[in-house]
Amino acid sequence: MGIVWHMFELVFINTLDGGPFVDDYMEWLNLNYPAPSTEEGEEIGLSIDPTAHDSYWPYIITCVLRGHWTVAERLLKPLVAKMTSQEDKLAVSAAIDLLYTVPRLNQYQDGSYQHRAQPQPYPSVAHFMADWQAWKQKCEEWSVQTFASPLLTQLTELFAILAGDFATINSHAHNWQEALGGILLFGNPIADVRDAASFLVDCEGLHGDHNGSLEDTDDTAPARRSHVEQVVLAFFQYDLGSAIRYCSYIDLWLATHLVDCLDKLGHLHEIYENLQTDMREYLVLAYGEMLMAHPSFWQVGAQYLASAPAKGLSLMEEYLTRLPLTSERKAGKVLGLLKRYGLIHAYRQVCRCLARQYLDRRAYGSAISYYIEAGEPRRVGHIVDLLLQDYIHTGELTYQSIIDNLGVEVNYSDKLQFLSQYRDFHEMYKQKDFVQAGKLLVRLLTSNMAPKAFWHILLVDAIPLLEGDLLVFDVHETHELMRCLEEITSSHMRQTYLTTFSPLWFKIAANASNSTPNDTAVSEDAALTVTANQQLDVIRMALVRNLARATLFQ
Amino acid sequence: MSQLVQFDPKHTDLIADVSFDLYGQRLCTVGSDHIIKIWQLNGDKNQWQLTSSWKGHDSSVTKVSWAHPEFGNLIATGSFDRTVKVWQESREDVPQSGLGGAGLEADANINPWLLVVSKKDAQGMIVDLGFAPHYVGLQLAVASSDGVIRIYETGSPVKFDTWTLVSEIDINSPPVYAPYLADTKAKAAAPPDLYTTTAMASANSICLSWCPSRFLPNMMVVGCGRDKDAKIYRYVGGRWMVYEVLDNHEDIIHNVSWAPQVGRSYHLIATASKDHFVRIYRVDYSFGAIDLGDSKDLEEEYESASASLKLKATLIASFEDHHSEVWSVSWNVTGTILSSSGDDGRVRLWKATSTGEWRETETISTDQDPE
Repeated sequence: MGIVWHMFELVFINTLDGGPFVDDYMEWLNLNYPAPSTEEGEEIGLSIDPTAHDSYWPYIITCVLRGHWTVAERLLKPLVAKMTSQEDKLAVSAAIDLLYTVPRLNQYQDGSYQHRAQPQPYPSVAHFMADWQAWKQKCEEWSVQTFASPLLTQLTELFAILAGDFATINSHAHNWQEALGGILLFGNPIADVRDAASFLVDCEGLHGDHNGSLEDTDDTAPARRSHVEQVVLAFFQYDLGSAIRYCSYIDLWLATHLVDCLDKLGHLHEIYENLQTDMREYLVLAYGEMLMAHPSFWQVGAQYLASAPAKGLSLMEEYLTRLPLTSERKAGKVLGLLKRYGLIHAYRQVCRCLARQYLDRRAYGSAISYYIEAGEPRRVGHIVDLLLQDYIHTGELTYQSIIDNLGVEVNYSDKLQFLSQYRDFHEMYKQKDFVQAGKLLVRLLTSNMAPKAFWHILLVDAIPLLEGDLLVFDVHETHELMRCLEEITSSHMRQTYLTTFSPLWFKIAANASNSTPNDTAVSEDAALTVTANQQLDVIRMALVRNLARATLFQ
Repeated sequence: MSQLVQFDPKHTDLIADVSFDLYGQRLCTVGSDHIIKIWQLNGDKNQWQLTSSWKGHDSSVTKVSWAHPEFGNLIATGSFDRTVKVWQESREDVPQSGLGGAGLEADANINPWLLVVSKKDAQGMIVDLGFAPHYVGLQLAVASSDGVIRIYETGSPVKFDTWTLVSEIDINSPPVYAPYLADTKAKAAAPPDLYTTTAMASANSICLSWCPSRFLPNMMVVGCGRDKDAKIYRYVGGRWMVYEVLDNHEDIIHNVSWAPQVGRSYHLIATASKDHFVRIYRVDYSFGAIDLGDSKDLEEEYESASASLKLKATLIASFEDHHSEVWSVSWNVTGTILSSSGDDGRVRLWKATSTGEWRETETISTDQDPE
């Protein structure tokens, strides 16, 4: 994958200035297809007679093809001493010298030219070409000579390579990548990427009939060309369509990011203009979808989806709402993402699901918070009713902590506000702040904040205030309370009002007064109403007494 | 890429239907043995574990559907006994250890799934059912072999014990076409004797699928048995009107599936037919005039413009690869992959290429061994 990525960088990014390709290419080659192996070099170097080693020449030639000239030089040096004839000695020295003096273009361009033999910096490519031609001339001269020593049969080949003979280069290269390296190095050092691509036809390895001339033929090169090679070749040929196709065989990540970069470089537009499809979107979505399905990479997947302009957000919405909300933390992440991308419907939907989960577990506080987030006053109201029922059945304010945790959100709905203020009433009562408690009670009743069905409970709550030593309600407030009392008792919905919230103690009283326990529900309701009526009579009496006291007081 | 998990659901008779919940973590199987079973995916072991199993009906259970989780854990089942039942899982009755899904088999005698409601309005067996998209509230459409689709709704936002029949689609009576279709379709309508009671006597095969889009609410596609076509119905002004007909079928339609829209400007509907074909229709919609200028709420705009809604369906793909009756079609969550199953014992997956062409991408065989 790195091979492809590196080559992509060379072909599409580094070459924007159209400079020579050879150095970049050699770097890529030696980095990704390293040869010859260091082990082999060490083996040769440590042997008693390196020049007699089986892979002595192959090793040197590979070094030369790969541009490892210093290594080649060093290996050639012991050979000089072994030569018997003067000519042969001369030839080997010449080879060493030629390797030592290969002109390199970068030395001519950056001004930091430090060549030992030629201290003068060359000002231009023209100078370089002149030097290059001269150097090449020498190589060609040597390559046609024959040598006496049997050890030097390969030296001619070496000179031929240096002279840029394609056939020799091909016969010694392990694969087309190496051959191309040799051709670029010795055949055309100033070629840019496009020129380099045209040399591909000269690389025999590509035509499928190449049999490694050396024993240790690269094992990694399979009979059928690998996808990676296909991609690299497609890059050279500027065939982006097949490059992307082969990439997607290698890895979806690679294809996605490659296309993304191509898109940003403006190459994609040219190819797919006629196809009416957005390749980048297609691949980004495909890759994002793949990640979304993963239990831990879904957040990354969401980011990918978000970067696809046309369908990304809708897809993300669909996937995020389907993630199992297994923990509060995960839910928080999902909600965070939905909020960030403004997917408000999905956000509310997830809130509702969460609220429902908490409701099922009777965690009313969390359920209320999420329903508030989801904008569901009806459902919040329903939970408030549940809480009030709970209070009435148990006689305890179980929801205290819930209200405390909600904070300012209690203002969200009337029902919640009522819940909160009713809690305050009990607090005040506990702290014996009877006057304030009484005022709050009247306010709850007169502002219609309390549900009507809850009024009689509130009125019952007023009894201790009415009967206490301290006068709590003035004439006006007492009148108000009386009005409320009459409103529920004279209403046609009286039965509903009185039985919806029937406290535990009512039921006990009702059952006690009911002689036959097997009565139907209707008669139980009737009994409840009777008990409630008795209670209301108590309230009425208390109110009247209070009115008298209040009038006197005034 | 295919992973196959096989397990024996231990139904003593045919399994009639299976349904995943929204998250794909739970599965409900129903069978001709009158039994409903709930399975939970154990993610670590990649195995499905039975969490509940109970006798749900007095006859073969034919269909099952999960409601959206915002309504809690709720399933609806339909049966040959003409009833449709809604079941709710009440967590409080489940032992706390059971929430993880482990060790529930031992407590199988305590069934957390309680019957919420049972409806027996149908004059024939229940052949298909489906919950409406969650944002319209809790609605359930039930198709029965008497040729009627009944739509139920629950009023309360949190408690679901009361369901009322809100509307009906009667396939046996001539359909009411939308104004723009009335002229063309009424002339081409089938001879009236098709709608006589004698025709009604034979069991009718109907199937339904809600339109999942938020912008086209109250719409569903219905496979209309003997008519050998599927019609897109829309609930307007208190009745269900036909807005488009998906024709070109040579035999009755066994199953329809409306794809999630996700980002597409058109809709996709797939049909599975007795004539061996899987078909994919593209449905384009247009509004007379839609003014997206002022309002922030796109949905409201669609709402107001919906009076002039027009639909146009085109057959974009048909496959005969099953070479036998196709029984079921189903879309993935994004509407990009269609699965179909047929009498050839294969499930086939269809996917659109980057150029928009539909192709088979995978085949799953029933006698394939799990990897």
